[in-house]
Amino acid sequence: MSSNTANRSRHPWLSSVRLAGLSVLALVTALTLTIEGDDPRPDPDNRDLVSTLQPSSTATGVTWQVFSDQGKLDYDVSAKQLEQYPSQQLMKAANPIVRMASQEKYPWVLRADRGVISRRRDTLEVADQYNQMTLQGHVQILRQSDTAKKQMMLSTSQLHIFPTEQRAQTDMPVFLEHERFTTSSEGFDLDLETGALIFAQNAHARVTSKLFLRD
Amino acid sequence: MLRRRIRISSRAVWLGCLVFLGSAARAENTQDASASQLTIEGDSAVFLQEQNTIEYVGNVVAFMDGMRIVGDRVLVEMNADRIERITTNGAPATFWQKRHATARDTTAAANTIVFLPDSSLLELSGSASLKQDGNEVSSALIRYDLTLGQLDAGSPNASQERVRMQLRVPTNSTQRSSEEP
Repeated sequence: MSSNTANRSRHPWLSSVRLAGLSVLALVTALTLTIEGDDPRPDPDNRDLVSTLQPSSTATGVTWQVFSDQGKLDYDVSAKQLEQYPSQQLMKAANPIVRMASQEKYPWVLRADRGVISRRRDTLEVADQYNQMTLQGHVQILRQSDTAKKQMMLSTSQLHIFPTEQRAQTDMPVFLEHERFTTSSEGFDLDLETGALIFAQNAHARVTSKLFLRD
Repeated sequence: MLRRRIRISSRAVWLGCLVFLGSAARAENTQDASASQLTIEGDSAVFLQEQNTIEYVGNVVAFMDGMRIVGDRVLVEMNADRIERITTNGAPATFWQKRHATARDTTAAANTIVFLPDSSLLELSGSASLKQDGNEVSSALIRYDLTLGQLDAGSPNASQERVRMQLRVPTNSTQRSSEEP
């Protein structure tokens, strides 16, 4: 027993001088933290940062409709939650569903896990304040016929939509399902007005389709 | 002597035709021409919903079990129920079909190759040629039945090139003499 006590007393970390020093250091740290925590005013620089990171307004279960100059419904966006960030000129949507009217044709329905509605940097029109949507996550683009039979469905992980131009575009891998064929590629450009879908040539992947010749 | 020679040569041609069409009639059992799925690969593609067409451009390859078509451009035309027509253009577009182990593969080339899936027909036009089991046919237009392996060569109008046929005549003397009456 006595030998154990002797060993302990020789241990450098358990010397009384060091213990006292550590205690003082801990006390000073605790006091400093308390003083800082008592100050209710944030740093002005941080205040700006915080305000840009915080939405100015939020809404749940919303539907946002956009009409043309002639008063026709161009598209609507419904989302579980919508957050507005005016300083960044963007809105964030959770589980957005975009319905885009197509002139005398079946509408497009675009779904995603999340979306960002923003302003394109290259536009100056005030009316086009929010003229670009970026859908992310599991993005699906569907066009249904009147019989509710699936006509075509595109799947990708990111999609840029330009409603005023009636155009959607991605550079990500894409999979197209049609009644008569499937196609996989990387990137596409979709004309939402005419339904023309372009799989452009790229260095990473070729366009591959499987055609179903018989039912 | 001359009459005998003519008779022998006419029999050889007739024999050649039989070999050509006979081998064609022994259609590929191993290859499933009526396979239900065709794969198409291209550098780029455009799908037009209104027209119900999809067009592939750049090193396009269309293939299914035992068959391959290669060209610069492939247009797939659909209707509400089915794939109607697959048109391949090239300089030239080429076709290959695997045959059974004892026969040589069928190959073809033309400026345009149209594949009609419903009837399993192939229409080759524009400097068309088809080689089957060593026999070769060239014509302005060749129709080839993928299932039966039968062909029909001709010209849409008389001014175009005539049908030219090169038949592989067996040279084995034993075989020839045994086939003579």
